[in-house]
Order: sequence, then C-alpha cells, then structure tokens
Amino acid sequence: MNIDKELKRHFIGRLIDNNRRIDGRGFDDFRELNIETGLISDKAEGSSMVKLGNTEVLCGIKLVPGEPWSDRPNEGILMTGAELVPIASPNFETGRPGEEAIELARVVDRGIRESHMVDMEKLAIVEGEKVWMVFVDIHVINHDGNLLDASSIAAVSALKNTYVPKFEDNEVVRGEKDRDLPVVKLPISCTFAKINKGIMIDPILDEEFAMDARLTVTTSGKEIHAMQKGETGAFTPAEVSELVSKAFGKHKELVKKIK
Amino acid sequence: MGGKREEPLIVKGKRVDGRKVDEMRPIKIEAGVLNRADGSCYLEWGKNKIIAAVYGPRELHPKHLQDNTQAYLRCRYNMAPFSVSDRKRPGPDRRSTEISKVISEALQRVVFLNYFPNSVVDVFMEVLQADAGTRCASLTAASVALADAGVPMKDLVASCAAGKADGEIVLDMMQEEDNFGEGDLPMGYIPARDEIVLMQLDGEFTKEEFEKAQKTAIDGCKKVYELQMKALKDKFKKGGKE
Amino acid sequence: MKSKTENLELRGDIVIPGEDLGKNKRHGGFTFEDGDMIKSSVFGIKEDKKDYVSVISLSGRYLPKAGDMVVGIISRVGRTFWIININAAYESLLPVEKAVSRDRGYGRDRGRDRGGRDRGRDRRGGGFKRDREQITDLRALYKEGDIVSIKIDDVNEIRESYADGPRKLTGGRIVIVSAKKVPRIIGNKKSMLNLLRDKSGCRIVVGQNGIIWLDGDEEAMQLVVDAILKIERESHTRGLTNRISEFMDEGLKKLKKTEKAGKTAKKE
Repeated sequence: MNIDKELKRHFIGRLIDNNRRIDGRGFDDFRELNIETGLISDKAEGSSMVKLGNTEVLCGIKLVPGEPWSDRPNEGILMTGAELVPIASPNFETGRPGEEAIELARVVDRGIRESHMVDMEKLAIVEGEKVWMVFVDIHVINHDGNLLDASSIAAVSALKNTYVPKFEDNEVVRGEKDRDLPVVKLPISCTFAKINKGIMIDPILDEEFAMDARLTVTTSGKEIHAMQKGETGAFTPAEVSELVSKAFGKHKELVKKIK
Repeated sequence: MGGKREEPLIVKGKRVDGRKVDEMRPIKIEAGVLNRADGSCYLEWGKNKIIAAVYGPRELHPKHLQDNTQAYLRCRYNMAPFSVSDRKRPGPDRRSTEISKVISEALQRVVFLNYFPNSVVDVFMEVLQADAGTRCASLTAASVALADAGVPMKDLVASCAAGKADGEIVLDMMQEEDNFGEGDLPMGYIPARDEIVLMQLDGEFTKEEFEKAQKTAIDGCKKVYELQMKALKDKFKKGGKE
Repeated sequence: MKSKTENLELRGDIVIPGEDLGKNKRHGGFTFEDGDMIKSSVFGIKEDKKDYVSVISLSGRYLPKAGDMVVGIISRVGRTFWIININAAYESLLPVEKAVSRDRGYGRDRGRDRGGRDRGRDRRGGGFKRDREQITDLRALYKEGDIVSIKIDDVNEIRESYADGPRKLTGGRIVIVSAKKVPRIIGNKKSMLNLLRDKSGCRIVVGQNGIIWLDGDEEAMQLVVDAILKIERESHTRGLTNRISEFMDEGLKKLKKTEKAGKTAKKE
C-alpha cells in the first residue's frame, strides 16, 4: 500500500473542488524551475540537472560510435532511456525498468525524435558504416511529481549543451570537442492533471495521488510532436483542445529558460 | 590497473593532477539533500559525484527474507550510464554487485540491526560521475546518509584508498593512477575503534609496500571521518532539507 | 528546499553516532555504552544534565510503543481482526473485541460482582448492538482505506503490536511529519498543540507516528498545516513556541483581511 497516497487523495480532491491547490499555486502555474547544465562535464558529452519544485531529474548524454540502420545509412541514431532509481522515492524498486520508466523514456524520446530536434543527418562518421549514437539517459533523483516534464526539459537542455567529440584514427577522443551537437528545435512537454472537474498544470506528487487522468502535450513553438494520455480517467475533446492551446502558451514561457 | 603509459605518473614528487603523494583530492559533503528519502548525502570527491539515500527501517518484502532477530541491511551501488567515459549499460553488473556486498558488510559492523527485527534498512548509492575511488566515496556517503536517516549506529565508517603508482605509495588515486598504476587498496575504517571493516587489494605489493599503503589509507580515512562529522554538524547551520 | 535556520539558536550541542558523551552517568535514549564511555547512537541533540545524559534524535522512522496514540489506515480486513498500516516497519493488529463500542458501554462485559457472580453484559442505551457475536462483517465497521486513530496496547520483542480504542477519522485533511518531531508539535504539557488548537479552532489529532489529522475551516486548516511544517523544520531551535504563536497570529490577521475583502467585493 502506498500509505502517502491513501492518506492524501481524498482531501486533495476536496481542495480542488474548492479551487485550491495544495501548494497554493494557480491552476496554470508551473513550480519554480531551475536548470543547471554541465554537471557531468568530465564524463558526459552533455548533461543537465533540472529542479522543478522538489522534483529533481538528471539527464546525461553520451555519444558512442555505432552501425547505422540499414535503411538510414547516413543518419545518427537516437536512444532514450530512463531509470526510476530507488533513491528518488520509497516506491521505486530496484530491477529492470518497469512500465512507468519505459513510458517516461518513450514519451520524452517521441518529442525529440518527431520534432527532429537533433539533425541526425549531420551525425555520420563514415557514411554507411559508422554513425554517432546519441544516448539520452534520464536518471530521476527525487520524485515530487511530474517526472515527464522535468525529464523532457532535462533531456532538451542537455542536448542543447552537448558536444560531438573528435573521432581520430578510428577512435573517439573523449573529452575533446569537435563541434556542437546540431540542434534545430526545442520541444518542451507540458503535463496536465485532472482531479474531479479541475485541470491543473505541473502536478505535484500529492496531486498525482488524487488524479483521475493525465495529459502530456509536447510542442515546439508551432507544432505538436507528441501527446500521451495517462491514468484511468477521461478528457472531453473540448478539454483536450484547451489544453493544447495552453501547452503552446507554456512553450513560449519555458523555452526562455533553456540556454 | 597496469596499463602502459608513456609519461610517468609522478614527476619530482608531483602527481598528474599536481598533488603530492600524501595529498587527498578535495571533498565536499552535504547531508540531507533529498526530501523523500529518510536520509541522504551528496558527495563530491575530486571529479566523483555520488548521491546516497537511505530508506528505513521499513517493511521487508518478500517475507522469506525477514529475520526476526534483526533488520536486513540492503545496499545497492549503481552507476549512471553517463557517469563513465564509455557509456555503461544501465543495470547491475558483476562489479556493482561485488561492491554492494563489501559496502553492506562494512556497514553491518556498525548499524544496530537488532533494534529492528523483520525489517529492512535500504541504502542506495548512485554514482553520477566516476573518477576512481567510487566505492570509497559511496561508502563514505552511505555512512552520512544513515546518520541523516536517524538509523542508530556505533559509529560512522570512513573510507579512502591508497595505491601504488610509479613504485611509490600514494594516497587517494585518481583515474590515470588507477588505470596505469601498480596497485590499489581501498579501505573502510572506524577511527575510534581502530577497526578495518572494508578492505580489498589488487595489484603487486611487497609486504613493506603493503604496510605503508595500509597506514596511508588509514590516515586518509581519519581525514575523511572529520569531513563526515563536519557535514552532519553543519547541516543545521546552512539549513538542510527536512 | 533549504530552510533558513542559520540564524536561529540551537537547543543544544549536535552529536553524531559514536560521539563521546561522558562517563559515570546515567544515560537514556539513543545512547550506548562502549567500555566505560557513554556514546551517542544517532545524529541528534545532546541533553546533558549533571548525572544524566541522553540524545534527542532529529530523524528516524517510528517504532511502536505501548501507550502511544497513532493515526493509521486500515490495510487489511481479516476474519476477526484488522491490520493497520501506521507508516512504520511494523503494522498493528486490531482485534475485533477491541472494536466493541466502549464509549457507549453497550455489549461490554461487566465482570463479576463481589460475590463472584457474573454481572453479564452491559445492556443499557439504545442504538446499534455491537456485541462481539454481532459483528460478522468487519468491513461494516472499518474497511480497507479507512483512516483511524488507535492506541497501541502492547508491543512484543519483535515489535508486533496490538491496537485498541479505534476511532474513524473522516473528512478533514492529513499532514505527515517525521515521528521524531511529534514531541515538539505537542510541546511541553501540550503547550504547542493547545496553541494551534485555540488559535485555529480546528480539531487536531496528532499521532505519535507523525501522521496528523485535522478538521475545521479550510483556511484555518491550511494555516495549521503551514505552522506544523514550520515546527518540523525548526524543531532543533530555541524560542519556537513564541515564533509559532506570532506566525499563527499573523496568518489569522491575513485571513480576516481577505475575508473582509471578499465580503466588500460581494457587496459591490
């Protein structure tokens, strides 16, 4: 039993019915966002530590030479993974990534991949034989709600601050920069939680305990690149349209924080 | 250990990073950094970056692991995929499993496990960036995290390694010395009790070299202990996460 | 989130596990003997009196103790008992006999009189018969997920406990704090708890396990929750009761202002 959840979900719903959030935020307000890039600069080609309220997510980027897909011989390969390591929550277990970690990784990946954020065609080393594999690894450090947005922002800000290392004599020269990773867009995800009739942005953990449905919308300024509805409740089409508009609005606000 | 390097590791008493043979890398320790864990510690040691978190005593599942005379101390050392030069596949490997075991055995010497029958005290260590000496850094952080969690212990365990590079005994090896040196001796030690609770050796040491390395590691552990104590006592001066 | 407690005075010296506390003294909580030296077993604050020393632990999970009142949640319903999750490594078992309505007295075994005759069962009062034999469906009384306060009756050597005096807590809200901070939230002779109750007008049930239930006006409850979290952050400092009293007064002033503003806005 998740005792935290069972003790809190009833009154959270009542607060929402009275138009209040447990931390006093507006329904359209994100928590305080802090982005620190380069924390793992000695070993990773790019990294970013995101603090969204008390939620903390670290993303590291590693570039590794590998074989291209046969149908895309001159393109780099993007691989996104997420680990919900047990330091981050009393409810995270050791072992292989479960469905929550896998969904998190795939949704973050979708935003990056479908927006063509990274210009994969510029990541060939030897055409047809060797390309850069870009590993985006999300490491959750402290879970206080909305891992999706924190991870998405971490991945995007890490990639924006990633370098492509030198490749000489058939070997990677670790620690030596060849050029910046070619980044053309910044997809940012925006997650909404529905509790009874109220819909709020950036749910804190206590709100996730009470939420009936969840919608994540990843946009890059003018286009939607990924959407994911979660939990067992439902949204009306009208609600979804409104949330999409709000997501576009939030993108303008959040993109300024990614340098 | 023991690869070939063109330049020597020690030139005129100075090591690759400018240190003397008996100098430690800079260490920064902060207690109480995570708000969900019962206790936690963030530690930087040279370029190593480690977070340790403790949960417990809490209910232990599966039930067949329960021991009605004492708590089960469960330790997990894990490296993030981006923590090393050549990306590491996520998940436990044989090295991580061995390190988790020796760290757990070191801590079992000091934790009052018999206070909490049938339960588990979980100690998780995540290496976010690695640069030689991660097991010592992890054990050091784990001790602080246990204290931060209010888990009763006889004492803290301090940990530090000595090694052999270019024939000389050095304190606190860094990456190059670990890769190209001749020996490595990580140690976990309790100064007030003069007890060695973790010790591993690999490489080539004569008996005299070993004695010198052991003393060097112990001296290092004593310095680390002072830093652990200071980090805990400073928690309320700077203001920690409750 | 970092708390700004740098400028607040500490209640005592901070000690760490293994730290020397003295010799030839009586010693209490969270200390142990190592040879002839008394040492601290935890990270906490030293309480040093002339011939007695103990340590107040600043953190640590709850351990059930006989006589403690705790707040928990029904985790499982058995044939003749309920299992209650009290947010500890150990659950508590509430036998069905203890759920017989004690306050009404109905169904209670009245024992024997001076002549040794069985007085039989209490048959006074009306209402629901809650005799032991009447309770066939335990879920009708308490089901999984119900929040209850219980008294820990008895704890054995492996920390298994029996519970008594259950009361269901409905509505209101919950705040969870470290069990080690509960004494500060209650205060010396309940001074802090009474302060919170009197100023807010809320019902407050403080479980020794760190789970606190409150009920009352929504805004007043929020203020109490904020005060409790402030006590938790600053429990290691001096002068806390006065600061909390000021905090509550300021909070109540602001509430009256917004209430007034709300009323004037409605008028216009």
